[in-house]
Amino acid sequence: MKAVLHVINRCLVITFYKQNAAFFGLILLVLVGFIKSSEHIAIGSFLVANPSALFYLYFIWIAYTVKVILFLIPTIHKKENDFLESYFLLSQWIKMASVFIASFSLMVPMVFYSFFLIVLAINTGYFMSILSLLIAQIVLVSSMAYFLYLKLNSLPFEKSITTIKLISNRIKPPFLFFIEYVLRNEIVLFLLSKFYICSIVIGTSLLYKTDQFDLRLLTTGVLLAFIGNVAIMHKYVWFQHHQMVFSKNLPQSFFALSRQYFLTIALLIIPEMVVLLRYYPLEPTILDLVGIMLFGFSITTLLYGLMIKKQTELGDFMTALFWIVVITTFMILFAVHPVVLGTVYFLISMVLVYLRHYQFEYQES
Amino acid sequence: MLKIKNLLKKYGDKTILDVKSLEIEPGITHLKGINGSGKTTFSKIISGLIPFQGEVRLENTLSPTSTKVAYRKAVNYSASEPNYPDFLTANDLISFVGKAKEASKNDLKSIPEIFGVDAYQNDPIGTYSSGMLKRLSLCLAFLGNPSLILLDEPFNTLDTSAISLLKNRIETLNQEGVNFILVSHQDIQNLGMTAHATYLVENHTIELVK
Repeated sequence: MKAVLHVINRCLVITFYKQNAAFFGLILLVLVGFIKSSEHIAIGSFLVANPSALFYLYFIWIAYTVKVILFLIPTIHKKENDFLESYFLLSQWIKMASVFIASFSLMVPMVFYSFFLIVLAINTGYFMSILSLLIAQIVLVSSMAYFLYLKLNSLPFEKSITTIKLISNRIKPPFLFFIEYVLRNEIVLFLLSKFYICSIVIGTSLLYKTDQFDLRLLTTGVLLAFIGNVAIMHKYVWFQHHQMVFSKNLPQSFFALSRQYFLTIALLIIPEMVVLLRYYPLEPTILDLVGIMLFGFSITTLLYGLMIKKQTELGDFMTALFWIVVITTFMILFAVHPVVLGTVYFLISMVLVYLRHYQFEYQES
Repeated sequence: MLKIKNLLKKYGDKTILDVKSLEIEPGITHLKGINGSGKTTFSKIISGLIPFQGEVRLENTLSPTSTKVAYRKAVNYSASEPNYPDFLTANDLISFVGKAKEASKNDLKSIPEIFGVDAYQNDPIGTYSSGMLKRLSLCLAFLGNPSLILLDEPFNTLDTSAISLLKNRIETLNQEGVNFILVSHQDIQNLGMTAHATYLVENHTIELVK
């Protein structure tokens, strides 16, 4: 039993958390960085006081469950996990116990938040909410366990990959490789990141209706928004230096390399650039427009450059992120124009790519 | 052909390779050693995939650290366990690598045919067997005009006809002046191949055996 749990844990649970470290990092950034503990308690108290409001939370939990399931399906059928076909030979009790424990482990973030709400509900005496939360936990964990049981217990099938026919059967240029990877494998992370970034951009723009602000507020907003690309950039580093490591044997000039990198990043940030242009709150001058867009682009390229300076887990990178925000905010307050900031950060990114592209070695932890 | 001085490769405190001095002459070189001896690490260093300390020189002038582009034009590599994004097709990779290595249009058509990759080059890589993946990796290694081709465990997972095909290709290109380093724990003489020199990777270093 211990061996079965160990294998399922390593193959599925730990792999899920490792591959979604960027996603959880982004969630933590929002929950810890922008919401105070008193606000968390206030939100939690509102939810437990209004059982119908809990259904909004259950909707988010169902979306999370779907995300886990979408991860499990291709992972179970990966070539390196072919040995999991032996699972159906195990005894019924081992099969059921192992999937329940694995499901519980996969749903830990949800369970922790639920536990927090239950404690609040106990303190305030909302016992219907406690019952509702417990039933939701049991239903979602059991559903996950049932799904996992069915998947592991089923006979092996031939895997097929459908090709996203972007341009019929024509060859994809290399700067589209990572874009396709994101659309295929990290769509939830991509959408969540864009939702966060666009929300900050729109929120900052709306603040201009309340008072007279200059470009500095928008620049600060763009800074806080575009660091939301940290998770995607973390994935890009993994993709470029692990999945595409063979490309380090290719005779690509620095110009060709940097063109590929920066084209990919430029394509990835199109959604937020469109939102930025759409909600631009000031009288648009060419210098300000170009400056703010260059600044947003350079923040994203800087994130990539810093990540190949030294391999760090996403959680550890938050310290570097903190200092980027502090130093840049300081410069913004002293009215350094975004075109200057953007140019400097972009140049730093180029230097880091030049120095570190071949010196960086991605190592699996 | 290949000169190595003070090559040091460590992961944390663990030394993988510590080669003070090594000269590999032109021709077909066999590099052998037990599992975990550092053969693949050596081949990755020489092909420019991973960083290292020390000096590597090809034809006295080219280096993976100082003449990055010219060196990588001259050195091709096929991995022992090729790893590519599974949604890409062989066509995507052949085009990408072929363009970077300045392969001729004729090579881009004929080399996949030689290795039998043309039969499935529009299918996603995730659907390939290990043998098909190996053929693709070998196909990519023969694109362009390299002066040195490193093949890591080239005969693993290949069927008999593919092994024969690969042997012929190696011998033909060697006669045209292309050098090969075949990294294999197997004795390549059993496969009918003759190496001009054999080196053994052992105790973190590389020594000439014969």
